[in-house]
Amino acid sequence: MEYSNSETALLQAQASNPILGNPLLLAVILLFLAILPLALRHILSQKEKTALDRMVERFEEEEVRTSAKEEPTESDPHQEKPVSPKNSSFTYFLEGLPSSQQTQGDESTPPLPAKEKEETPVKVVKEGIPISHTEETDFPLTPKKKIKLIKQGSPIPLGESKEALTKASAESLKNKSAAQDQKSKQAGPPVSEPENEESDNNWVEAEIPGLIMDIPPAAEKPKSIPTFKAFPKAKHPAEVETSQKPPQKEKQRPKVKNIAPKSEEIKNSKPKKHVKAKADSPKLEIKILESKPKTVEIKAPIASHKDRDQKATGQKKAKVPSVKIGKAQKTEPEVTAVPPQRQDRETAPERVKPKPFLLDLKYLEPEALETADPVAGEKLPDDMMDAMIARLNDLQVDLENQWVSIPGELTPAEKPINGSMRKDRTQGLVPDLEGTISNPSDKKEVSLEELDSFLFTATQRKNRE
Amino acid sequence: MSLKNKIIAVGGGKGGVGKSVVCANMAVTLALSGQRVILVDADFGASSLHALLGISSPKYGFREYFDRSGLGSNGEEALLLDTGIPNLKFLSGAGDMPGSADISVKNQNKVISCINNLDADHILMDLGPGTNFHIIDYFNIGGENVVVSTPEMTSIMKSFSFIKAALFRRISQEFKSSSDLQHLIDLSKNPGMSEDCFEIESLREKVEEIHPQQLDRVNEIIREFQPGLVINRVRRQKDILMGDNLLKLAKKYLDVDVKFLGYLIESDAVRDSIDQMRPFLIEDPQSKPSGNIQQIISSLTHTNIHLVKKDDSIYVSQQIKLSSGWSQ
Repeated sequence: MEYSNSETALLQAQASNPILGNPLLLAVILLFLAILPLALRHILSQKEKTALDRMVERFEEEEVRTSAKEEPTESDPHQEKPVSPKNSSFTYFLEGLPSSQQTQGDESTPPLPAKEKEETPVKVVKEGIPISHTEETDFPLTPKKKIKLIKQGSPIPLGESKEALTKASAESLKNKSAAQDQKSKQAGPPVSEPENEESDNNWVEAEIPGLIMDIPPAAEKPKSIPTFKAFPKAKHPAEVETSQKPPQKEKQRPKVKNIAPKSEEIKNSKPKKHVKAKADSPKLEIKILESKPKTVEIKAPIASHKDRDQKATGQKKAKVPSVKIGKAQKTEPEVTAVPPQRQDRETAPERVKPKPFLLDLKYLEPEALETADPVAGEKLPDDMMDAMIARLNDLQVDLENQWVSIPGELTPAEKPINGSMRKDRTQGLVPDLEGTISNPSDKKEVSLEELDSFLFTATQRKNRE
Repeated sequence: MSLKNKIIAVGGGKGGVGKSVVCANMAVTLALSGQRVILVDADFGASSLHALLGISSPKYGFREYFDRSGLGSNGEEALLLDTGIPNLKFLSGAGDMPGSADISVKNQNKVISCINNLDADHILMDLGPGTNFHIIDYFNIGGENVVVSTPEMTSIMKSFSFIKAALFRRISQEFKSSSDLQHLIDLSKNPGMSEDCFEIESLREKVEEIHPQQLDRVNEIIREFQPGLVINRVRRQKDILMGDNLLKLAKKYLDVDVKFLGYLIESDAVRDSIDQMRPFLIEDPQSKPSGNIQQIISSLTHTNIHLVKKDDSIYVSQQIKLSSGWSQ
């Protein structure tokens, strides 16, 4: 057998260097070298994550101990509280949200003017590593609220809690832990968590404003750490197990992820509007510890108004709005989803009002439009009036065609109507009314018996009998 | 015209049901049909009838009649105002001074005397709402009594109370000398009574028990009292049935035969006429509301009246309604 020159060279290479000479082995080595950095990176991130988790867990344990120690009268936050406006799931999901949003959710509750400024919108700093509160201005209005509550005479029984809060806040400052870490969810509710302070007026309980009120301004800084960390878990009845059984956490995470709107959804959803209000609103900074690829979930503050309504009515399973941040670089657009809604309302551009249907160009002549000057109060041209009347008649016909007759109720032809159509409608009924009482089978609105029962004379006769 | 009594009192227990509108247009119809008509505004304190006739500020009225200062030698005739409508005069009760609705008994008698002295074929009295004795007494001096109501339940109930009050007042006035009967049927004279006579049947029993010889007279008064009913602001047939309910209730508890005179549909023509301060019968006697009023007058006078407007002139045709006897 004869070999070609190339084959001969290959055989010689294999004989001289068995590694380089084997292409399969070479490919494996190259692949390994390519994977190695990624694996190392992953291992390093896992190590950091674990360390961070330990810090968070330590912090949370301290918080739980502190809260148990300083609030003996309160029920255990890990225990399921009786459902009430305060600790219901609705309230739970509203925690950390601006009070105005809660007020919107419950329209029957009048908004508290002082709570408008209590919104604590979240600002995520792109490059920052630790999650911490910014300056005092993050809560510029909390003192106003507590002052107001004091004047209203709300009891503030938790004098010790403020110390605990201060202590916990100091701890959180030391740790500079990332409260957005997912594992932080399993911890119990923080002491400083303003559980219902943002809720409506009836839901504000004494200890919550007391907690906030008595916090020194410097100690308020770490308050947002538990806000992003653990507060929802223990409060929500459906997630109590999650906080009590860490091994199940991984199984439950997908639930959280499933019910939470993803970042892309949030970008396109309503909270995106609130970006405009961010500059003027009090901000709560979130500094993400890592710039490495990491998933951070920010819960509660990005709950949409629609979601909260659904939670309040219980029509749907409660969703925990969360922002999933795949990489630190992606956090910036997600920051825009943080909704200070009230301020957004104020700054949002006004909706363009639709034109009145009567003035639809379709039904008006251009000349009539030019000559008509409703502002000056001039009489409308006859053509315009005719067009408007024609339009009204068309609409009336359309409406009647859309009616579905319900047995026992008036048909459209019998419906009393207001406005300029009354005349035509009434005249249309006249043929039915001519003559005297007719059609005795026609159902009466108020029967004789009903009338009879309301007469004093009838009542007296009954009493006599 | 076979209308036996010249005084037609238009009342009703509830305010805002359209008594003045119905009364004014009835008067216009009678006047256009050739009758000499005087329209009297007896809604003291809340009069608006002059406005419906286009009179902004009546020069004379009952106010001058009470003090006699503004009356000339013509007496009551000097109080009558021209309405611009042929055969129709107007006697105003306008006045918005506080207390003008609280007429003394003396002045009340003056009003009744004045109305009885007026010379006309027909006198239509527009009464105020309520069931106080002033109103009821004015209502009862009418030879024809017309109760105006709207189809609403509350209005029907008020109309029933009005008819009951008028009936009991008639009986009470008839037996002024009998304090026993007065106390039975007049709560104002016996506030603490237990309302034994809450309906006509119980009153008959009491009368038979106390003054059995007066029972026939009581029954005669009940029989003579046949008020007419006009349902205003009718929009559908069911509204007319509410009037039928009132007739049945009046018969059941009062043994009163209420005559259903007709109805007046709710129409923009009526509203516009109020705003324009011109009776809608003048504007368009052939409109549907005008036809309703003519039907009411026809029921009241037992004639068929038809008004036709042509070339700014109103023509009237009347036909005596002949009853065959079979329908009665």
